[in-house]
Amino acid sequence: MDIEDNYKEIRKKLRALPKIDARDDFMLKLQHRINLLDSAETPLEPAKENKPVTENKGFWLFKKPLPGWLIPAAGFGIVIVIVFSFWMIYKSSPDLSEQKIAEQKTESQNITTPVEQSAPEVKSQTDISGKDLAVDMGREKKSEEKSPSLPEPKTDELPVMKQPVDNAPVDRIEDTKALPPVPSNREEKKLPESMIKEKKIEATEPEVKKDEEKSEVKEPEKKNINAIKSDKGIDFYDKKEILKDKTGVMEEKGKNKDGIRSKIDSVKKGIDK
Amino acid sequence: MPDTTEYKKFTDEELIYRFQRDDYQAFNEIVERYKNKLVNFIFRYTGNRDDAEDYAQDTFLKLYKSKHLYREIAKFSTWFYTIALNTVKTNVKKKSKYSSISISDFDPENDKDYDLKSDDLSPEDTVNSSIEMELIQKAINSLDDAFREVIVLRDIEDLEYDEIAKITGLPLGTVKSRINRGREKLKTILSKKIKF
Repeated sequence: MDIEDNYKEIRKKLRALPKIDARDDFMLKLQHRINLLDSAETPLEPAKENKPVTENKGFWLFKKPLPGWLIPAAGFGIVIVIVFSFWMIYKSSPDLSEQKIAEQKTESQNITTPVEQSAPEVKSQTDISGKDLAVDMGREKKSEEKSPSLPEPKTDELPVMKQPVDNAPVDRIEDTKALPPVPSNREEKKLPESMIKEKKIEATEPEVKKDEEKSEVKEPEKKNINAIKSDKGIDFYDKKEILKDKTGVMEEKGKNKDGIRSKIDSVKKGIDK
Repeated sequence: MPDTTEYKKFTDEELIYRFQRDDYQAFNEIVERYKNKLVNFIFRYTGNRDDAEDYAQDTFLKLYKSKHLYREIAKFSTWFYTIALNTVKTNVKKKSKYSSISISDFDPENDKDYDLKSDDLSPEDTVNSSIEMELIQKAINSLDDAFREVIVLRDIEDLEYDEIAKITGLPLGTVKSRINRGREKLKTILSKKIKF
């Protein structure tokens, strides 16, 4: 308080200064500035509200917004999953590459081998047991399902595939060497087995086709017969069979008559004697 | 919503609490209570009436925008004077930057037009109280910022020492010493012109 007393006079002077009041239009001016501030902020408010919505649109995980720090990790994980799935798909179908290599080899062999050797060997190779046929048919179906776009091997070229590689002429061996190198030893080891399987499949194809042709021939006949039956209302086929039966009987009767005549002739000869 | 007369019964803290919940009538009441105090404080600090009005409005706008920043750990008046003082200091700095490139720099002959009036006053003028008040205001404006702000807050706005310490962010002892040193400087300035 002593300090305050020392400056009592100067404090009096300072307190005696007139109070300056705000002007009358102070409130109006302030209101105007507040309105300007509000009008300047109102267009920004919807943008602020919309901003998080647009940000969260693409990054929702399990009905919750994905945190920002997880977005790069999630993207990297998705890429890894895609790459791994592609790798698994291509790894699980190695037969495709083997088939392609085998086809290339067969094509090269077709170019070099003479047509004369093919015919007899087909018959020898087609003698395959029924079990092998069934197994090969199943594999063939699978391979067809996996690679529908691959061209079907021609039956005319089948004999060429049956020739063993060791017996092939020197030109053919050179051609096979000219083929692109197989990437790994594992595939090289597998190649002969797959070649044999394909040869078996292709050798059995003619038989299968013959059976199919037979079944295909029978079915239309039946259909035609049924159509005829239904159209004419008469069992035309039965009648034809009956006619055939009758002619057979007539022939048998003729045969019997011939037998009687021969017997009569022999009796007559005996009488003459 | 209470009547306008009831708002006058509310304390400052109650008013800002209501304003934080979008009660704009409470804001109007705060403006009514503090506009004259604020304009007076800023005028004594700057010495310019127009600037005082503008800076006071800036302070109220800051209060309007940042009402949610107030916490009941301090008195509302302390918090509000802190905003006002910071606003005034910022604006004065800006103005001083602009005024550093003034016409007087290019036309030294006209310096006197932009300077304060001469301190050499006749005895007749000193009798006039208005002139005396003008002298006092000039003396206040001639003080350094550090002394001026504490003198105005203590001897014109009549705030407590601890409150001034909170507003300025200075220790209490520093505030007291600055006030006394500021008074001493004022006394020495005014003793030449005014008879105590």
